[in-house]
Amino acid sequence: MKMSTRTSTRTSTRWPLHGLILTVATLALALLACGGPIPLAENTPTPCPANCPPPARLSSTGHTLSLSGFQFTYFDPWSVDSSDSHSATLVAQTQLGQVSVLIESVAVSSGESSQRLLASAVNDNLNSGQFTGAQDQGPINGAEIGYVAGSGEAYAATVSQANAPDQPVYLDFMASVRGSTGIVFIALSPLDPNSPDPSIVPNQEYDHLVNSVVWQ
Amino acid sequence: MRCPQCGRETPPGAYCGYCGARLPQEVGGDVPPVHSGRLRAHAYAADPRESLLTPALISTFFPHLSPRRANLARWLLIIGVLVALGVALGRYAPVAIVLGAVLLPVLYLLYFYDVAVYEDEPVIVLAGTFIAGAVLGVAVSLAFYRTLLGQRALSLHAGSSTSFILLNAVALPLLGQLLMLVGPLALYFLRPRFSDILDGLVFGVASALGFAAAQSVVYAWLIITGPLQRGGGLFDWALPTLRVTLLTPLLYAAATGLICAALWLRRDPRVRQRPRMLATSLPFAILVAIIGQIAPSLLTDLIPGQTLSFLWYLLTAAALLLLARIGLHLGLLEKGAEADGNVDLIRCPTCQRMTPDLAFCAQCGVALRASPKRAARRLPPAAAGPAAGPTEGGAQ
Repeated sequence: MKMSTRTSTRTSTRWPLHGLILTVATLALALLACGGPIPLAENTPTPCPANCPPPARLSSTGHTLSLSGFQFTYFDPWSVDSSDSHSATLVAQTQLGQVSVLIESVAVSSGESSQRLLASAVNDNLNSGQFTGAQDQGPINGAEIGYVAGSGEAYAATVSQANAPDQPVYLDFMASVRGSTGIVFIALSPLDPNSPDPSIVPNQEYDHLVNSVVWQ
Repeated sequence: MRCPQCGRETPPGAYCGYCGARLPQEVGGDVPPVHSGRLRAHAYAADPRESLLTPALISTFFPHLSPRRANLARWLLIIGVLVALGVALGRYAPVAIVLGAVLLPVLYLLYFYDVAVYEDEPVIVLAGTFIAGAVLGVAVSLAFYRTLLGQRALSLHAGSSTSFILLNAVALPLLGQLLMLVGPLALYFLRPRFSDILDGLVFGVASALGFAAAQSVVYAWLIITGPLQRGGGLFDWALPTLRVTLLTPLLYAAATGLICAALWLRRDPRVRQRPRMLATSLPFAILVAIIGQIAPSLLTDLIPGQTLSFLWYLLTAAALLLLARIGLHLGLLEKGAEADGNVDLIRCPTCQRMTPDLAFCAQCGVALRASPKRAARRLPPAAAGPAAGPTEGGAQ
């Protein structure tokens, strides 16, 4: 009789810990099954040696958007997120989040340089309180918009929000001026332009967009 | 003598043993002010040296510490925050964030060790609080990591999408709050002998601190695994570091501690029979915790900006800390009001003087439940001798 009492007491004191571990583990595993690992950039893929498929762009249809002072063409996977008469914001989804591009025209006074327009765009957008730890990554050599030479600067920063994952982001600013019209191009991306993996570097996408600009 | 605050006959001393109110001194002494009402805001029950309305972190979340240990904990916290801040000013963001994320949980583990209230069952208490909170914090943060990145509108001028706001500012804070309660709730049902309001508060706070640390580390993973020194201005990383070090843990700890304290108070059979005050009722605690979890997230999404977001979290954490403090104070008073007239003497762990074994120390006014290893210090009546008379004002 005494023996059975002791056994049942021991069982009752041990099971709660097991039950607690089981409960927590079940909940944790169920939650983990809904998600996945933190997405990181993949390794550099093996370059295509021969018989490479043509770029998908050649088979997709371009969309032309006309704004005040210029027009430009974009392809899938870009889509227009918002636009008005002077500017348009394009977005595209990637494995690390959304890439966003803003193209806008501004009226400039005669003789204003693309460098000054660029500095103004950087100042307006980097100091908005949205980014933490912005760091100048150097000039974008050969920056041009619609084949009009301009200025460009690249930055790295972090979007640090209290209730969401911190996200390193990369900003490319370019500006060109022709006559009394200036065009500013700003790209905001979670994809590292310095990555050795060409599949996740959007620079080529940016080139397509700025080269498609037609000044009016 | 009769206490002017609660009207009960209390053994002589500087403080009432039932409500902790300061008693009038004998001939020639100052007559302390009598504070009407049940709030007794001039002396916080777990540390009568402090006002109830002081948003003091240590005496609220570390209620078992003696005044000397509380001072030590306060300095450790200040030094820890300054070190994390100094590292952040050097822009060593990964180090600053990890240091900040583990600071309060490590302090709380030291507190568990120091007060030794749960020394006979450390494994189950740690499993039900820190470990459960941390494991579930990692799991839920990883589960929604990709979704949050995918849905966040990374745009220069556009605001967040509605689906992102609903997920990020409403659903996830509520889910997080539920998960922070899992471990303490398991202890509630599996270990009924932990029946004090202070047990509930401490379990809730510990679980929330484990959850907050885990979530902060997972959310900052891309920073932690990135370059050691980041760019930006001198103060760029100060606000994120302070948020991870103090605001998020405090917000979570206050919300979870408030719910658990109200839940554990219901367990007390003497208190359960009485009509409850609003501040100590479970529905009120749940409502306040839900608002506290959602409001700063929602404001951060709707009105973005580092400084504003810091402000939303600071205000909410301070408000919840104060409410948790008031809830704990009133809960201790409620329990004290129902205490039996036990005149056995014990040594007060706070002031080290002999006092009747009531709800509050007659010498220093501290709530005797808020003492480390209280049970071990009970003395047999014969060994203790007659009750000590009034002394020179206790810990005031």
